[in-house]
Order: sequence, then structure tokens, then C-alpha cells
Amino acid sequence: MLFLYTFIGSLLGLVVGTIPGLSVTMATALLLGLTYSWPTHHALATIMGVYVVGVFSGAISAILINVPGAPSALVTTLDGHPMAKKGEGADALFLAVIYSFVGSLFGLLALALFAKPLSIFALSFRTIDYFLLAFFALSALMSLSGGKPKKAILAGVAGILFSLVGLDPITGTHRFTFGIRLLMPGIPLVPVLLGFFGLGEAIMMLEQKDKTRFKLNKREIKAKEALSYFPFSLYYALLGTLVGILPGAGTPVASFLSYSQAAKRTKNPKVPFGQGAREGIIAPEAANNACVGGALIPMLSLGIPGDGVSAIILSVFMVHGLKPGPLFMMENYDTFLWILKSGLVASVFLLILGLSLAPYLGFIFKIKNSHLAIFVIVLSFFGAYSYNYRSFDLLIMVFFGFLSFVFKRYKIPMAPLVLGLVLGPMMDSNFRRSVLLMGREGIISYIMYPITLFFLGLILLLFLYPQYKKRRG
Amino acid sequence: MKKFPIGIFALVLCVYGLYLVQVSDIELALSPGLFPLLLGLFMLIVGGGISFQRSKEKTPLVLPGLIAAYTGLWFVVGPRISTFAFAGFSLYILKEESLSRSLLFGLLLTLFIDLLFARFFGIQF
Repeated sequence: MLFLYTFIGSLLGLVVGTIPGLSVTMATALLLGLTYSWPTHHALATIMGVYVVGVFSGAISAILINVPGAPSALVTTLDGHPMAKKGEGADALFLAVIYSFVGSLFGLLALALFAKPLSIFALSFRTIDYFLLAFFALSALMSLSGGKPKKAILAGVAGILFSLVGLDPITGTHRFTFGIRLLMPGIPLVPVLLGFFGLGEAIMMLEQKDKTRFKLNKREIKAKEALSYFPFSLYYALLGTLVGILPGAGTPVASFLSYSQAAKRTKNPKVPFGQGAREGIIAPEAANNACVGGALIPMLSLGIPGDGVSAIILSVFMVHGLKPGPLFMMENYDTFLWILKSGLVASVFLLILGLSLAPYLGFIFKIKNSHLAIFVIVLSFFGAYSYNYRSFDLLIMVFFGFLSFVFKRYKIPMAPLVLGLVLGPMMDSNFRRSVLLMGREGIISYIMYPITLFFLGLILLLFLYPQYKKRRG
Repeated sequence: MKKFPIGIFALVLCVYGLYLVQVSDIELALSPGLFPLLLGLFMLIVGGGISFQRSKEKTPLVLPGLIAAYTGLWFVVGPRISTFAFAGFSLYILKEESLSRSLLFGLLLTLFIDLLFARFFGIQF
């Protein structure tokens, strides 16, 4: 079953990642609407397949037609497409497959090694520490939102507000329901995610140009030559894993950072960067796939998602009644092992499918964006309805679909809203409990605790360091 | 003028938080209004300097209009007919396909969705 469901997910990831406009986030959101009724392990295996292979397959269209299939593959276009234009497209694809595989394995190894120790450490967290950790996760977006920190904060606040809709879990008071009975259980995650990443993306898809044709020559690079870059790739895999652990960063940041590092650190590349340097493909591809394992570390051990896709994976857990966090690793260790195994199997499928099918995916570029958009919209509608069998959820989905479109028009980042939505309830209840305890114990004596002070220091650093840098010019 | 709505929204949030604090009749620390109140204040401080720069691209109206119509139809005639109508006419209205090809696409998509959700996953519509 593990192999079957991971294979289905991997195949889906390969197709979805290859099609520009269809993102891994969208695919996992759409899958959430389909798999909520499946056994948890089957759903997780499928989604891991999509996640691992989908992050890689964005490179296929980046190399072949100069249009990244996913945001994380944007930098792969810089050297991948020049290679394709020189008739080395098959070589570029080969390198992308090999080093995405290496990156995936590296990230999953980090997940296997560090998730459990981190969750054991997190058992000593108090309510205030959970609040500060979630606050840090949202604040981290500020510094990683590409020059739009205030918009990112506002999007995060909006996400938290949406998460507060419904009955208050502590007092049972109605919040933001405005007399609408159907809002009492709160805003369900599945329609929101389908609206945000399905409907919203579909509307935007129509505005993108249809894909172009390409020609692919035979592979010339030998396996031994390709593997000679292995030591080089490890540094970028490590970088990708670390970026993945950082809340809010995600695969695009990992690939951008590793590309710029590779360009700086590589002395005398055979071909200059930007004109078809092999290092320019290896570094971002190793990093963005390593990011997958890295993002799962805080998600599984602390309940804090590292990026948009892991926020959706977190909601898969919630839909199936599981709660990631320190206790999850103790109580559901078999599920953790299942995720790890699914990731490893998906990495192997990445290698097999990438080497065998990737060069033949040209027919996908012939599908018109309009057909894809209609397909995604219909799938989003049925996914949203199937979650609770409530037509009201369609209205929620359409609302968030249009909201996502507005976000894009005003260039407001979307990931903070999703993170806010997922982290909001945790922040709310932990904050209020902390305030109560502070009242009893006194603020100073309550916060004089090493972990609390560490998180407070981290948050202060996050806010003050950019100011310091600005002053130093 | 572009900055105005954020401030107003933040103020409304503060007032709503205060209202919740009042009606819940519980100590402030546990009150359901505490968090919205603080979020409102936070937004008021942060949102003051924001100016939303709208992208200059033209806003597409046809597809959002079709989605709104699809939603309405779903409530009136149910999922299958509304899906056929939406998928069947969208490509034609968007000037992507001829009417016959568009209708064929709609029919095939409805059949596929019915097969996947209703027959394969057993979801009742």
C-alpha cells in the first residue's frame, strides 16, 4: 500500500509540477479535498509523493521551455534553459533529477535524526513558549517576505482573525459569527485552502501565456561525471534543510539562497553562471528538495509548519484527528515513521520517474491553460463540498478564492494568511492561559525561564537586526 | 485615502474585542475578546504606514463572473448539471473553443468528476 499510494502521489507530483501554473501547494490542497475520507496513512503517502516529486518537477518546464513549473524552480531557468538551448537539455534534466534526489535524501535524513530529539526537548515548553514560538514563526515571514514585511504581517493577522471565527473553545462565546449559525463550528480549513490555492490560482492561470514547444537532444553527460558534483551538492542540501526548518521560508527561498551562494563560492566554473553552468542547476535543485525534509521537522515535532505545503499537510493531520507537536512523536510514532518511509519511497520514485519519464513529458505543455483552469475550478468545488457535504462551504471557498485573487493583485503574500489560519487557535488559547498564569505568578517570575527568554531574544533579534543593518547602511 | 480602510478596520476590531470582553463577563485574561482586541491594536500600529499598490494589470471579469454563476447554479440545479453548464459553456464564452467542442469538454469533465467522486469515492451529491 505504501508503494502504491506513494507512486500515485509521485506520478501526480510529476505531472502537476511540470505544468506551469499548477503548483504543489495547489495539488496538495486539491488532494486534501479528495483524500479526507481515506485512511490517514494512505492520504499521507499520496501527499508525500506529490510534495517530494512535485518540488523537483518544476525544473522540467524551467529547463525545457524556460517557464518554471513551480516558484522554487525559477532560478533553475537561469542555467537550465541556456543548457537546453545549447542542445544539453537532457544533461540539465539528468543533473536536476540526480541532485533533487540527493537533496531529498539529505532532508529526510535530517528529519529522521532531529525530529524526535526536538520533540523531546519541546515537552518542556510551557504555554507562553508555544505562543512565542508561533509568534516567531509568523514574524519570521516578515523578514522573508521579499520587501513586503508589513503586508506579510497584515496577511498573518487576517489569517489569525479568520481562525478565531466560531465558538470560543474556552468560554463558548460566539466570535465573528454575526448571527450566522453555519459559522459556529469555525471556518473549515479544506474549503479555505481549496479557494486560496485552487480557485485563486485558476483565475490567474488564464492570464498566463500558453506554453511553447521545445526540442530535446540525447543525453551526453556520463553518470560518473554527473556524480562528481556530489560533494559540491552537500553544502546546498544542508542550506536547503536549514531554510526548510526556518518557519515561513520554504522552497523558493532555499533555491534563491543556494543559487546566489553557488555563484559566489564557485571559483572558475566551466561555463559562467547564467549561461548554462551545471552548478547553477545542482545547487538550487539539491536545496529545494532538501527543504522538504527540513520543513517537516518543526511541523511534526512542534506543530509549526515551515512553509505553505507543510501547512496544508498539517491540516491533513487535523482533518484526520491528529495533532502534530511534541506528544505526536510519542503517541503516533508509527505515523511519523510512515511519513519518513513515504518520503524515502517518493525520493526513489523521483529518481525512477525523473530519469525515465521526464524527457517525454512534452505533451503536457500542449494542454491549454483555459482547460486546466476549468478543471481545477470544478475539482475545487467538488473537493470543498465533499469535505462536509455542506453547500455553505462552497461560499467559503469562493470567498477565499476571490480573496486570493485580490491578494495577488495587491501583491500581498499568501503564505502568512495560511500560517495565521493554522497557528491562530494555538496562539489564542496559549496566550490567554499565559496571561492568566502571569497574573498569578507575576510577569517577571513567569518569563524568567530559559526557553521563554530564548524565544523572546529570538523575536527581539528578528525585529531589531534589520533596523541595526539599516543604520549601518 | 488608500491607508484609511486599514485603520478603520483595526479600530472596528478593537471595538469588537472590547464588546466581547464586556459580554463574556469573565476575567480579562480568559476573555474571548482579549486576542481580537490586541490584534486590532497591533494592526492599528503596523497598518498605519501601509499603502497598497495595486498591480496595473487588467482585472479579469469573465472567469470570476462564470465562477459566481456556477456557485449560484450549484444551489439551484445541483452539482452535475451546474458543472456541465459551467464547463460546457466556459471555454466557448472565453473564446477558447467552438461551442460543440466546449460542450464536449463539459460533458467529459462532468462524467470524469462523477466517476471520481460519486462512483469511486462514494460521495453522495
